[in-house]
Amino acid sequence: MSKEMIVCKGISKSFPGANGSTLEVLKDISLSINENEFVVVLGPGQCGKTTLINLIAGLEMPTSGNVTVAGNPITKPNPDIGVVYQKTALFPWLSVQSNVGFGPMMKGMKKDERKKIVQHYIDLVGLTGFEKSYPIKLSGGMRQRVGIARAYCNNPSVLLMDEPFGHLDAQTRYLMQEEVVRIWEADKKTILFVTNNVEEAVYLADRIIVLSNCPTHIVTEFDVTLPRPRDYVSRDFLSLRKTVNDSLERTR
Amino acid sequence: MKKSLKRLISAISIASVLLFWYLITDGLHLFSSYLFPSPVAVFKAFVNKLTVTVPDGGTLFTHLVASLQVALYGYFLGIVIGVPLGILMAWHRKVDLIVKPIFDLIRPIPPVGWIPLMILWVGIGQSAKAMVIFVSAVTPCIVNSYTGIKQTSQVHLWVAQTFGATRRQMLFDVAIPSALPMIFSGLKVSLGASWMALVAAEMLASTKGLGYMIQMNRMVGRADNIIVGMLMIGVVGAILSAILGLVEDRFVKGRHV
Ligand SMILES: Nc1ncnc2c1ncn2[C@@H]1O[C@H](COP(=O)(O)OP(=O)(O)OP(=O)(O)O)[C@@H](O)[C@H]1O
Ligand SMILES: [Mg+2]
Repeated sequence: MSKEMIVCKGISKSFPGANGSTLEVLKDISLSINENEFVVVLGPGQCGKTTLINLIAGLEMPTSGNVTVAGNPITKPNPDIGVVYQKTALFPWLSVQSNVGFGPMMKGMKKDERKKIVQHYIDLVGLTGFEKSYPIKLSGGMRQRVGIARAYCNNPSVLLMDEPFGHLDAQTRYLMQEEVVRIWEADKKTILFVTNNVEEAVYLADRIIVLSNCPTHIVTEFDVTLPRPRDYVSRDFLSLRKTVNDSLERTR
Repeated sequence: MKKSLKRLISAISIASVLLFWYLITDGLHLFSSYLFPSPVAVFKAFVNKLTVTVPDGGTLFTHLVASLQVALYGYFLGIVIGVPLGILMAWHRKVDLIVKPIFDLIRPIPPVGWIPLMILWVGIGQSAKAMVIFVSAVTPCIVNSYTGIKQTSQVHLWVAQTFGATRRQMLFDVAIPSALPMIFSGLKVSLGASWMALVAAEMLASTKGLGYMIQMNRMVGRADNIIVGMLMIGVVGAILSAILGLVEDRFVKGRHV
């Protein structure tokens, strides 16, 4: 049995809502993700997916319950947990290489030492030649590659991805899905990937966790055993896609 | 649009104003040449003023230097105090709580409103003017730096936090760089405000400078010298903001395609 990397035990999260009420966003979520597993959390819009990511990343504290990563309780952000965000969270004032090298820079790593690993991850995500470009000059897909390289460059053992391809056009999205699997296979990490797109979930996941609407709880789980690289239109793919989709429909 | 084409259009537009000016003065003689001198007369007055000190006690150059000195002195003082103060107010809640009410009270007083008090305190001269310019320069610096820091994107701060950034690193490596365009637009507004306050201050409380020069020439009815002074103020103001634009391009990266 493989090692448990991310463990959430009965976490709930409420925010203070309008005029004194409380908005219950997450309700009693328990999940466990194994080392180097690729888990996709599938949930409708505004159901608290970003909130879940922030709780695991240690950016916010759960109202009740607890989160551990690699056995350590999460009380604050931790460089061992990388995050790739929904919208471009790149720093527009930094070039591609400075964006990618941001984590090592925060750790105080020297410039020439940084340069080598930065180049390695820029090459890994296929952005060779764009080291000196600023994000504003890049396409949406390229920006997300930079975001992935930036998270990888810090060499975290856990990677949280918050709808990273949500605003890309369909063509680029397919391409990036292939890329993320390729990168993960080249440099294995425990990945928790959040999306509202069923096809994306089935393409990427070892396991799919389906969330309901607010207050959000876990509805069901699917193990995906289809061999990689997956074919979007194979019979098995389409039938699993339908099954997952039906489970999602019932939660609306 | 090509840069050379833009330049050509600017040149044509300035040339047509000069031509129109020439037409209604020396061309058609619509005004008395004493009240509204032609561009040719103004150019002659300009050349003359390079060496002659009558009637305002200085050559054009001495007045210009006096103005520049005091303007830049007050302006830099305004930046050095205003930008850090704005950043600090935005970053530390306590500083904000303490400084904000004082600032809100002082802010509506127009910079020229300080002149009488300054004259009383330090007399007519460079220091009184420098203080007035400082007051004009400091406000936009504070407001823009404050707003810039407050507008730092939450996601950028999250990213820095997940990389284990300290609060100090978050300020210097995230909040300040992200506020830089806003800070620079404050510097530009400040520069304009300083230059305008300078002229006002020199007309009220001074013994030299471009504002003083145009005020003196009004008393002796020399419209040509007044226009020379005004054009000088306009040209130098434009040059100063162009220089600031170059500095901005050097420091603010990745914001324009
Ligand atoms: N800091 C906060 N304070 C108050 N309410 C919040 C806060 N963060 C999130 N919420 C609320 O919690 C709910 C879930 O937000 P969240 O961003 O986690 O959803 P999401 O599933 O990521 O949405 P999207 O599909 O738009 O990405 C929303 O109604 C949001 O308004
Ligand atoms: Mg979200």
